[in-house]
Amino acid sequence: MAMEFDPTAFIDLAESLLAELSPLPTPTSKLDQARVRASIGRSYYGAYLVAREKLVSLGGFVPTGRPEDHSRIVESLGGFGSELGGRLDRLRAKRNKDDYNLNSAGFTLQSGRFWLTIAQDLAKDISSLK
Amino acid sequence: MRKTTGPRNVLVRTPAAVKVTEGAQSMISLLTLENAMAAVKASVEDLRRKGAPIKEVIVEREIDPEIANRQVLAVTVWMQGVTPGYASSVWKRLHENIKARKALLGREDQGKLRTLVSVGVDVDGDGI
Repeated sequence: MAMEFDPTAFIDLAESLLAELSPLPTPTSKLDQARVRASIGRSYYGAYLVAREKLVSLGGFVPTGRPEDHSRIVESLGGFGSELGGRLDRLRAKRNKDDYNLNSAGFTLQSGRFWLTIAQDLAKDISSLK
Repeated sequence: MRKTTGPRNVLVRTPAAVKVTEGAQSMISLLTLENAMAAVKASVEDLRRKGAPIKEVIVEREIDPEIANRQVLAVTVWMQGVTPGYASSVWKRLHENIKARKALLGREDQGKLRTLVSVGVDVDGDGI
């Protein structure tokens, strides 16, 4: 029987994508920007799936499989006003921009590293919820 | 010789630039989010006065491209030239500041701040 996928691997992948940036990354390098954007996307899904599985295991969340699950998870974590819910919501907003917005502003290596740190912290903090 | 007291070289911190998009402004007016926004701005200003290197604050109306009928007033506090760990700690302090100011608001404004306004931090730098 196949082992269940560990979503923190998405966060590890996000880290390795940033490590693959060219030695002197520039905003004009399409591939470097794509790596930063992909890293933020994987960071979000890693944190989101860790949250979803944890909330399901605690019995406080039933996934519907619809897009609304993303905002329901934020609500279950306490909403925008809570530290965990607020961070996950902002990470999703950043992921939305990186996947849908072609404006290159705000997709620097520094930003990629920042959101990776947020995802790593979220995964750790959410995993320890009881 | 008489000792004179001229202007001293005192670092003057000017308030962080707050850019509000047209869509955000409409949302603030339509949903009367002025008090909630004032609490957020004052919380950011507290941090800036205490030395957080805040470059600018962007306020946008944010629509989720994948979730129907979901919009929030998104406030992004941009910092430059800081480590991820430092930016994360500023976000935590900002969260605490907003929580304290939220308690001073009326019940209706507290609800609006909780359900309609999402505040976060982001980091920018030179190059990519």
